Amino acid sequence: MLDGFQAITSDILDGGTHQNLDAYRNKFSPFSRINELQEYSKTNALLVDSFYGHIYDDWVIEAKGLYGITGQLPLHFLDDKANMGFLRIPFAQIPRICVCTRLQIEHFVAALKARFADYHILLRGQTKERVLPRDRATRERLYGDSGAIEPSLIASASRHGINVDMILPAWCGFLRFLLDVQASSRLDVRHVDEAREVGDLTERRCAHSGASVLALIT
Amino acid sequence: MKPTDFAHYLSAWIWPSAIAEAAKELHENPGSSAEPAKFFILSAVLESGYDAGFDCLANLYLQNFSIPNELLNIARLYQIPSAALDAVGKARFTGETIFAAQGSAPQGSGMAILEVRSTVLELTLLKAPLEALAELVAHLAIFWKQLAQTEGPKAVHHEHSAESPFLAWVDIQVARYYGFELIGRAGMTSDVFKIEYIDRFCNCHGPLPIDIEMLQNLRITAPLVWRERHPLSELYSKLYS
Repeated sequence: MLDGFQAITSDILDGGTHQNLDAYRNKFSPFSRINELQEYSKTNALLVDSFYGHIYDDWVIEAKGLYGITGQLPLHFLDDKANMGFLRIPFAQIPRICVCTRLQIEHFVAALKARFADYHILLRGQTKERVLPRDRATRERLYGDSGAIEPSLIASASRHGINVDMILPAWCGFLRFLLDVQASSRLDVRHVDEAREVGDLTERRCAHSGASVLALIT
Repeated sequence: MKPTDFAHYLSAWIWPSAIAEAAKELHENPGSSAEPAKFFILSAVLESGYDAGFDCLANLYLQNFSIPNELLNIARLYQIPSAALDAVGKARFTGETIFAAQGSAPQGSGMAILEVRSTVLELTLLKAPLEALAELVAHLAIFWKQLAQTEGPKAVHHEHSAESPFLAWVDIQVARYYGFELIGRAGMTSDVFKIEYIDRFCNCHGPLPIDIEMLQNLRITAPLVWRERHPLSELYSKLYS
């Protein structure tokens, strides 16, 4: 089985799932060599790319460059500025542009704002570039490129396999305890109320943002 | 999602100090802890206790309510007698719920959508998580209610951005209430080839295997269906038409 793919049963597909699985099965890039798939057998076995949620009949992932062969995808805005190749994600590529100064970043942000006037541009940083842990043979199969770089942008908590929901009571309880004690020590009822408001707000944000908030705090 | 997991996650909204207060009261005045009491859950968004499926979720929580051990351990830091805390830790919901029908009279900052009757002890613990649930459901209901006016029930795919299952699961329940019964379905197949080309993302699906002529045809057709942005943009995706 390809690295990062897992077997799933079909019963969760029709009933509706909250696991962010793809609506359609066997998505492929037109810039693949899927036409070379000739012989197949319907085993009813289903595989899901656990990193992206794409679902496939098991025989379909034999296709070369299923997610689009690197170098054959159409070019888009700023692709001509790529001076470090591209990141690869299913069905698309993202230019890697090395910049040396803040001014260069501002230049690209300005270009993006001019091109996408009604978009909100968000900048996201990482202390080091993180990639999906897929073996070369799988990347060769999916992208026709064993050296393809697949970015990993998940929050730190998720990266470490922490179940945010499960630790939410402990985390929120501890936070509320600290706020409660700190406020109580001032012996001022107003501060207790303020602390409780902060506690409520933090919990809401934690619940809505999941691991992101947790990762930022820890 | 298992009902006990759902209840565990929602119990994150219980204040340790509320557990400590309940235990203290139980220790000092056990009679008053067992006295009957009631409180109301208000909402300025939900039109009744049944709106957005709030009644189902609230009942699910109450039926599976228990205090997480983690919160109980934190409550011990308030230096309450252990026996009293242990007793509070065994609390389950034993009361009753009355969900308001549509058109109930407004109270204060909203309409009372739920009246909970139980003991003082239980209500001390339950008020915060039930209020949080009402707020969360109301927040999600605003989105799905609006979407139901513009999109058919089969047109939207659930593609949430939550990194944990609790919010996504509640979201699906609310979506289903507003008519999106098939929300979250996945792995569908199609008898004809369909292309989606949005921004940089270009993909197809359809009956396989495929010959080179058809594949070439898809490559040629793809730019013709290109769009800069997804119709529902970011959080949810509209299915191929």
